[in-house]
Amino acid sequence: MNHISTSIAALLLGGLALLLGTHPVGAVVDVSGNLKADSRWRPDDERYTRNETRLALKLDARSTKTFFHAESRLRYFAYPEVSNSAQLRDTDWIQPWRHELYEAYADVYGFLLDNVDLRVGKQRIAWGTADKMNVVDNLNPDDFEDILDFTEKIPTLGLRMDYYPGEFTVTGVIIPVFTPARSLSSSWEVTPAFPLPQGLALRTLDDNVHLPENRPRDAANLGIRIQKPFLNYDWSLSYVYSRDEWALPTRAEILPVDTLGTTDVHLTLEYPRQHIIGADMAGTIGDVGVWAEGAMFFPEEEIYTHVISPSGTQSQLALDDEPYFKFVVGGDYTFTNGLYVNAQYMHGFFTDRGVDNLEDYFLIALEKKFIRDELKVRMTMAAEIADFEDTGDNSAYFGGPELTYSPVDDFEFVIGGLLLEGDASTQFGQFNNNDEIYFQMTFSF
Amino acid sequence: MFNRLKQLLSCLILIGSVSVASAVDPVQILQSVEDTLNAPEDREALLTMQLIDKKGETKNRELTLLQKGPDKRLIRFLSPADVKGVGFLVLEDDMMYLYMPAFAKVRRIASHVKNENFMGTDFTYDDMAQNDYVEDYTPTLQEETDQHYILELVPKPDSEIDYSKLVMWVNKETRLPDKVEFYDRSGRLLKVMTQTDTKRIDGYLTPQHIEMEDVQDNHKTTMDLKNVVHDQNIPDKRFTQRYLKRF
Repeated sequence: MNHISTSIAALLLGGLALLLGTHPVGAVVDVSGNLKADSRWRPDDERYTRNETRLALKLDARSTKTFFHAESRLRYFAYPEVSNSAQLRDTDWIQPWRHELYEAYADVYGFLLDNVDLRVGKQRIAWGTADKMNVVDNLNPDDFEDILDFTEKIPTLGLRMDYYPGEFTVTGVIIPVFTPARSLSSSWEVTPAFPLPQGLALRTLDDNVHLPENRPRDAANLGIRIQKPFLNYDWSLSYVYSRDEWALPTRAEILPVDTLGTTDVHLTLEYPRQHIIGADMAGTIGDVGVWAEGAMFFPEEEIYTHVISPSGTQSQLALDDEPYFKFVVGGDYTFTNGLYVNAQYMHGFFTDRGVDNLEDYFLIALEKKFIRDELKVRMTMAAEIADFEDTGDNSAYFGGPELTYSPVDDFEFVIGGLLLEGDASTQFGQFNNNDEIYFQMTFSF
Repeated sequence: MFNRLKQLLSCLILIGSVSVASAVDPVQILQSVEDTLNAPEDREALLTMQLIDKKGETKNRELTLLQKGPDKRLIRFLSPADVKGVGFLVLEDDMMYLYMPAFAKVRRIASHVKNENFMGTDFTYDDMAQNDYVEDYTPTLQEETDQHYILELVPKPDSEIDYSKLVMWVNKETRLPDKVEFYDRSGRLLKVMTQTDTKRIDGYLTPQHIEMEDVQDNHKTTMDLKNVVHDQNIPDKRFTQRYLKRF
C-alpha cells in the first residue's frame, strides 16, 4: 500500500510538474526539499528512541493568479520491526518506511472578486499570534508524534477563503472531514489507566475509538476569523465549530476475570462537539514584542462515562458543559549583546479539558548566535504548575539545551537534549525517566 | 516624473545655496542625500549578496526587494534553500512582519531586531532600511574635498541607533554616500560601507555594488543590485500581509 501510494503521489507530482512546466500561461515550477537524519538516545534505558531519515520533497508551481504547493515526505526508520522469521523476507519489516503527503493545495488569487483568495486542498491553517503555544489554533488537529515538535499540527483537507475589505481580513474555513489528533510515538507512550472501584485490580485495558459519521453534519469543522490592525497592534476575533481532536471515554465495561477482583476494562472513546470563541493580538511595547491569545471553549453537552459492571451501570462525568478559558501571553526581546529572550505564560495545555483541569505553564527560551549565525546556542526551559498551593507534588520542569552549527549554506547540524523532572501526575512529570539526547543533520536543496 | 523634478529641484536649490552662502549647511547636504536615495516612487530589484570571511570562504544570499517610498519594503529570500520563500515586510512606524512558509504563518516582529545582523551579513536590518538620516542624525561638516563633503553624523538622543557616529563621504556630484564609516558604542571603527558602479536607471542614480566590511571581525559582505526597475506604480496592496504570504 505504501509503495502504491508513493508511486501514485510521485506520478501525480511529476505529471503536474510536467504539465505546468509546459503550460502556455508560463507557470513557474520549482522543486525543493530537505534531507534530515534524526537520531535519539535515552540514557536511562540505554537505547535509541528514534533513528529516522526523512526526505521531504516540495513542489511549487505558480502563475500570476494561481499557486500550487505539495510536500511529500518519505520516512525511513532504521531499526527493523521484525518479530518472526516470515517477516525476514519482507524489506518493509527489515527496513521499515512510510510515505506521508504533508500538504497539497492550490490557491486562486482574486477568486470571483479582486480581493478574495481561495485555497483548496490538504493544508495547514495556522491561527494565533503566540510563539507555537497557540490556544486559538484549533482547525488542524495536534500532532504529538514527535515530542521535540509537540506544537505541530496535522494539515487537513479544507477549503479556505480570505476576503480583504480595506484593512480587514476575513477568513472562512470549511474542513469537511474529521481528523483525530496523533498521539505520542510508542517510545513515549504512557501506561493507560482507569480509576476502578476499591478492591478491583486492572489486568488489561483496551479501547475502541468511535469516529464521527463520515457526513458533513457530523464530521465537518467550520471556522471564521476577522483580523484588523488598530493603534499599531494586530487584533483578531475567531469562532470555530469543531470536534475535540482528543477522544473522551463515553463507555467503560468492567469485565471480572476471577473472584479475586482482577478485571479487564474495555473503553469506548468518542470525540465530542465544541464551540470555540477566540481572540488574539500582537504588537510592540517600546522595542519589546508582545502577544496574547485567549480562547473560550464551550462543550456542546455534558459527556458521561457509563461504567458498566456486573453490579450495574453508573455514570461518571467526563467533561462538564461549563465553558472553560485557555490563554497565553508572551513577549520577546533581543539585547544589544545579541541575546534573544522569548517568554510565555500559558494557562491550559493542548490536552487540558474542563474548568478544573487547566494547568499553568511558564516557558522561556534564550538564544544567541555566534560566528555570523553559523553557531546558535538555544536553551529552552519550562515549568508546569498543576497546583499553586502545593507545587512540591504538583509541578514538573523541562530543560532543552540545543546547539545548532551551520558551517556551510544549506547544511545544519544540531545536538541537543531533553531533561524532564517532576511529579508523575503532571503532563511533563509523567515522562521524568525519558531524558533524551538527540543528534540531527539537515541538508536543504 | 514629479519625483525626478523634485530631485532636480532640490539639487538646484542646494547648488544655489552653496554658491550664495559662505558656509555649507550640513543638514541641507544630508537632506539632499536622503532626497536622492528616496527619489524613486518605487523600486524593484534582485539582490545578490556574498559573505566573505577572514579565510576568504564565501556564502551566498539572493533576495528580491520591493520598495515604495522610504517606509514600505518587502524582501523575499530566494536562497539559500533553507530560507527560500521567507518574506520580510516593513511598514510605517516600525511595523515589521515575517512570513515563514514552514509555519504557514505571518508573525509580527518587534523593532528589537533592527540592530541584528541581517541573515548573517555585515548589514543590520536597520542598515538595510536606513533612508531617513535627517530624522535620526545630527550632521556636522568635517571636511570638504574636490569630490566630497565629509559629514559626521551623531545619532539624535531619541533615535534607536546602535552606532555612536557615522562618517559619510557625500559625492558632490551625485549626492550619494560613496563611503560611510560606522563607529560602535565605544567609539571604535566597526564597519566601512562603500558604494560603487553607480548608474542612472530610469533617471535615478543607483549604486549597483555595495560593500560592507566589518573591520573588527575582518568579515565582508558584497551586495549587487540587478534587474533594477523604478516607478512601476506598485500599488500599496503589494505591501500587505496578503502579498507577504504569496511567493
